[in-house]
Amino acid sequence: MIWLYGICDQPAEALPLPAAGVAGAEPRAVVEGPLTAVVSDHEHDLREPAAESMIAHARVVEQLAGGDAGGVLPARFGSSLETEQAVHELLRDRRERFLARLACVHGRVEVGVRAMRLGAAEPEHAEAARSSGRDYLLAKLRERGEAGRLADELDRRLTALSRERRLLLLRQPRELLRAAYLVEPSAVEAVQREVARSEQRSDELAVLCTGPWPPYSFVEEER
Amino acid sequence: MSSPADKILNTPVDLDPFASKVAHLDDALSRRVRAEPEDVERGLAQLVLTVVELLRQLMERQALRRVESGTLDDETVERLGRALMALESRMEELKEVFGLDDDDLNLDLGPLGRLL
Repeated sequence: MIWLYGICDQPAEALPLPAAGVAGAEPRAVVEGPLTAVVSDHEHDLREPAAESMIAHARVVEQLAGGDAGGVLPARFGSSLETEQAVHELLRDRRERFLARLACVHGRVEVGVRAMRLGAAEPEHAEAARSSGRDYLLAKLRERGEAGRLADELDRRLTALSRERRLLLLRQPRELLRAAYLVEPSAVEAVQREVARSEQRSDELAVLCTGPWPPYSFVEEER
Repeated sequence: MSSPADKILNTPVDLDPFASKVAHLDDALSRRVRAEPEDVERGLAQLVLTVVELLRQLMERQALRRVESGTLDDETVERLGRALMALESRMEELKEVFGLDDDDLNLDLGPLGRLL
């Protein structure tokens, strides 16, 4: 089995390959035209999600992303192929798409943002909300409130700082925003400032911001 | 790789609301490993209800935007509200039937669940 870490567009000799990857195996390069896949070889199926495997995978991807010669399209944890031939075919078949995505993520980093509404749900809303369709919608609007508007505004401001943005549409209860932004490394501080500013403007808003990450959410093209 | 704490660019005023996702991740991983045959039906229900929940949320957001903008007449607002109320309570029933809670309806739907 061949474990895939990521796909790069710089020559194999320029890649910052770490000595050990998942399960201690040594990552190596598989070159096909302008693309290089970074892989390691394993006798057994490794897809069980052990924490140390995840960290090892992330470490290789981070090292590839940190190289200044080019970018990386990170493979999702657990991506594997049966044979080296299949790796070549993957790189050949999707060459144009991979090159286009690499051009986009090149030199950029991903920042993740999640915003939650704080404060207790107001039970009287729930009761009143059952009386009519109109009250139901108005109660939803009140519940979303100022924190919801601030989260929308934060998303607009961060989108303006980004080359691309991926927004997760499905939300958990109280979740107002979950998105990934592809930004220049120099813009990370501006993102931090926007997040802190939003949070300060309301007691009901909590924002978790993480990064910079390799561009995990930007491997697929925008639609 | 740097230490995990270095990856936090903004620590929220309250970290608790974010923590449920962490437990969910553990759960999802362990469930994936023990893919027992009797879990298959529940897994399918989880997938279908996650898609329905996504559509419900999108409809609700659209409705709220239109209510906020004030472009709907009273009768339409009432009708929309009743439809969404009925949909929400039907979702609650279905979640109960299949023994699912909100955290279970959190599958990664891939490109279907994302917006540029």
